[in-house]
Amino acid sequence: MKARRTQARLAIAAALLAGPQSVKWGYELSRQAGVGAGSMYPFLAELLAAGHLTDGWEEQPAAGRPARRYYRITDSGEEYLRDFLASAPAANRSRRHTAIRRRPGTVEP
Amino acid sequence: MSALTLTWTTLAVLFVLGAAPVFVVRLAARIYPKGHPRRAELVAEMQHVAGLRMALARWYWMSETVALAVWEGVAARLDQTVEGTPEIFTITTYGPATATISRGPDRLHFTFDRPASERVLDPSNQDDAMLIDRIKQQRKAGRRSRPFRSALAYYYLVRMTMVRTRPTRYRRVRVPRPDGRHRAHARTSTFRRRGPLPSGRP
Repeated sequence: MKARRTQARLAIAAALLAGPQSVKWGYELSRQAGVGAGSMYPFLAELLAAGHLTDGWEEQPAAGRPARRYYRITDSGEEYLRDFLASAPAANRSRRHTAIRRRPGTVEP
Repeated sequence: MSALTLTWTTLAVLFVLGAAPVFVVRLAARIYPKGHPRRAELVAEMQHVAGLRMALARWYWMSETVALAVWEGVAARLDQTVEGTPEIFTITTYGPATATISRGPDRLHFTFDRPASERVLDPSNQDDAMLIDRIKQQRKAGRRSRPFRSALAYYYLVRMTMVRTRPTRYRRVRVPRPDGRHRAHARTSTFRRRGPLPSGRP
């Protein structure tokens, strides 16, 4: 998959790699990456179609609320996102992205 | 005139985003074709976002989501109509030898002989194709009949648009007449008197 490397996508990739084994909700991920839904969901759909992510639905949702959809990185996805971040040009690494990279547990590209 | 239009537009936007956010998001979710996982995801996320205290964040999320639904949903419908979008099924592990296969909220639980890896199902693989077929059959069996769904949709539409008001109570007001007699005041408006007056007058 030849994906565009925009600042928003880099931020999402960094946020996904922040906790590779944990599950991520859409809204939580967008807050963590500081990216809006308009940029995030198309990228997630691309990753999902390529098999870099798996999705699922909350097993026991809170009372009165429907089950949320979660995303989790696959092994191939983790490798792909590391390459995705590493091969990003330095000019594309925004201040926001740098801030995310400095969080504990994130991967240095 | 333009100022007036702008005001009305602003008021309409404020009403839509402020007074009927749930309705708008549910409507936006309907733009996605049937069975699209974003339909259920959007509504579920909306329930979560609605609990936020920051109104500005809610508005921002809503406006962006609605714009995305228009952009993505119409494209997805066109794709589905023209060439048929391939459905993505994923297998998600929940234990050493059990797995959940999901596509949207529809899901099947399976027990495998060996640990099932977390992956996207491949329709070209025969085993995967059989699993996809099973979940499709389950979804078809679980779907409600069309008249029932229409009635349910109508019920929710009415419930969403209905404004609950307290029942109006009319009070009988006695107004002195020039001839000294009393009669119901509101006879010509909302109050209708039943039967003749105690005095026998019609």
